[in-house]
Amino acid sequence: MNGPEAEALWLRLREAGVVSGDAPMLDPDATAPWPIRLLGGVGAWIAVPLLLGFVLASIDWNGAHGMAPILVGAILAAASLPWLRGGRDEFQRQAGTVGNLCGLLVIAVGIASEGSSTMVALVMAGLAAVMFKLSPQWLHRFLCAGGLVTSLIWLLVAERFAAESLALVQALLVWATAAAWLLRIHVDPVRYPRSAIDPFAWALTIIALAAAWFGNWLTGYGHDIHLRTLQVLSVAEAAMLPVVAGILVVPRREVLGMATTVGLMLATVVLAWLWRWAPGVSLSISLLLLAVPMGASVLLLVSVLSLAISLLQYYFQMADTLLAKSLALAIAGGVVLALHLILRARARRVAT
Amino acid sequence: MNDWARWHEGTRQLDLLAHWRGSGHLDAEAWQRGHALVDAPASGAPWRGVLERLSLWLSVALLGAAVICFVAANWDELGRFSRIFGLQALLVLATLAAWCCGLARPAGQAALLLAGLLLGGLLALVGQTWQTGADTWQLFASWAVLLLPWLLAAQNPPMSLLWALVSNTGLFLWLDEWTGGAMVSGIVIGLFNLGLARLWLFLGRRVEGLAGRLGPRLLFTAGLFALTLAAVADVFGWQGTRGGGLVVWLVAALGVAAGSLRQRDLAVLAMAILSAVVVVTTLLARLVFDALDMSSGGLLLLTVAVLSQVAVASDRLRRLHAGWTHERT
Repeated sequence: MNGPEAEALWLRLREAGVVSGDAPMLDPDATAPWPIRLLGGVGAWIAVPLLLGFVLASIDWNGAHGMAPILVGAILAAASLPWLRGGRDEFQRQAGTVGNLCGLLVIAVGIASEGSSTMVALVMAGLAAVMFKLSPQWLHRFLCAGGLVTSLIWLLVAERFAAESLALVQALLVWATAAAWLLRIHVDPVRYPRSAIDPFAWALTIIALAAAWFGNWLTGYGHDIHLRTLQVLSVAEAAMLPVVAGILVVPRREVLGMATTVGLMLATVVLAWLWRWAPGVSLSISLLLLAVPMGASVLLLVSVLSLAISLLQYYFQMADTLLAKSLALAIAGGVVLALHLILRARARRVAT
Repeated sequence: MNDWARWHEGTRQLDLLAHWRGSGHLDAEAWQRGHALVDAPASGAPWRGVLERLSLWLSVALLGAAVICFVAANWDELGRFSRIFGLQALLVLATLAAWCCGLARPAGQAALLLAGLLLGGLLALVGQTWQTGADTWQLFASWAVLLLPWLLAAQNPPMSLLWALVSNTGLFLWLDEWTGGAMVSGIVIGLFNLGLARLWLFLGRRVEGLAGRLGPRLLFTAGLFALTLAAVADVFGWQGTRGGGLVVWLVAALGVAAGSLRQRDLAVLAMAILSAVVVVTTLLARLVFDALDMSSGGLLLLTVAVLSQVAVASDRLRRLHAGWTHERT
């Protein structure tokens, strides 16, 4: 956040008797503007494959012992830790991030050449969790969290991508994503630092959206939606939307108004029921609602884009006829429009 | 200050409180009291305003999707005149709704945007029904021309971005048909988008609805992306590097960087630097693998090159941002 705004807020707190003294100096790394963080992130994305290519090309795969890649990867990951955790300048921090990620990937390649995919997932889950704990870098933590969650999914799905196990994974992912963001909104940052929650929540969000969009493709469109298990899991997944809405708006019902609160709850229940077979839509609307109290513009943009993609996917889904989809969309549009009119009426009442 | 701005300000203050709490500058009691001080105004009217706007746009998107699904469900049963008259009727309704609501209100803007999208659908339907042999790029060119009056009336980012998307698509299809190679297409599209971005910035100083930075940033990103592709295509050209793509990219990127320094737009400056990193790395790769014939060692060299460029650039941008912030205080 900018200096003048921080000073103004601290002054306001001081005048209210909440704090005393001068405003604390902001840590430049913690408040680096997003373009600088984006530049660093993209740079790492370009450098990791290059370094990985160098390491893999340097290993003599014909003559090497099976443990060689694992050893090389472990040395790379360990050697990069000092720069990753305490690099004095941007070059050292980026180099530490890239080296560590490359080391983890080489370890995964080494284990894959010797053991089963389950062993790879198990080891990578452990390593990703350890590196997440040790790392102070946002991008590195995001990728480690992604690696951890992906490994756990692999252990649950176990190469078969059966419809029931994938539906269970989707339901767990959706609830975990909501829990992570709600944790960020409501808990004490001393107990649950945002530097840890943010990258983890984003990793869960990206993976949950990917699972919602590509789940059908992974199961080969072969699942029967009339299976009781799938029906229950789909409802459980969709139920997240009204729960999130309730947690966000019910504590603020006096400020928002009773009609708005009840209207929003009813709207989310209707939307969740209508799209229990299109999980991307419910998830996108949940993310949209979560972005509002956080002021998270990027999450808002992601949720809008994911909603557009999910609606497009819904159009091509074979579970319902086009006429049934049209009816579902019309009902949902009507419900949301009614909510909009309630909000407008409330705004006019408050203004007068 | 409108609801979006108040909402954004309130949530940024909550983020700052959380940062002070996390770094130990606020104890538990101060955190609770500070939260109560900032949260109440932040979650009242701004929340309602933001939810009101979001619910309007969401309902428009859902009802529009419902109409599309309904039409698709009955497509085979509709005769060609029913289809065209039906779409025309929707277009007229959307335009009337925009006129009745007024373009100063979000509802009017949403209705006019919907009308703009329906116009494209109508042109596609006419082209499909009476196949005159016209090229696809002509459809998008016609769409862009017919959108101009609405663009001038709307004067808002969504309609401007729709027009930019339509005209870019038409230009891309025309270039694909009439010119050869990715390099020329990249140069033309890149310069077109950079020109649009400059025009938007110019108009933004005179037209309130176009005053934001998001639209120009998106166009700068698109322009730099296309020019970067042109430069990369030039480097890897099968007849060797000719230099045309590289020269145009260099001049354009320097122009964008100079402009963003003047505007103090860190995001666009970072995009220009990122473009430079990609092109320089590509040139190095050509040198390393073709001229010097290095194999795996070349990959390590490129890794170091990328990390060095990004590290230096990040450090310079950080200092620049700190200087701008200091000048504002």
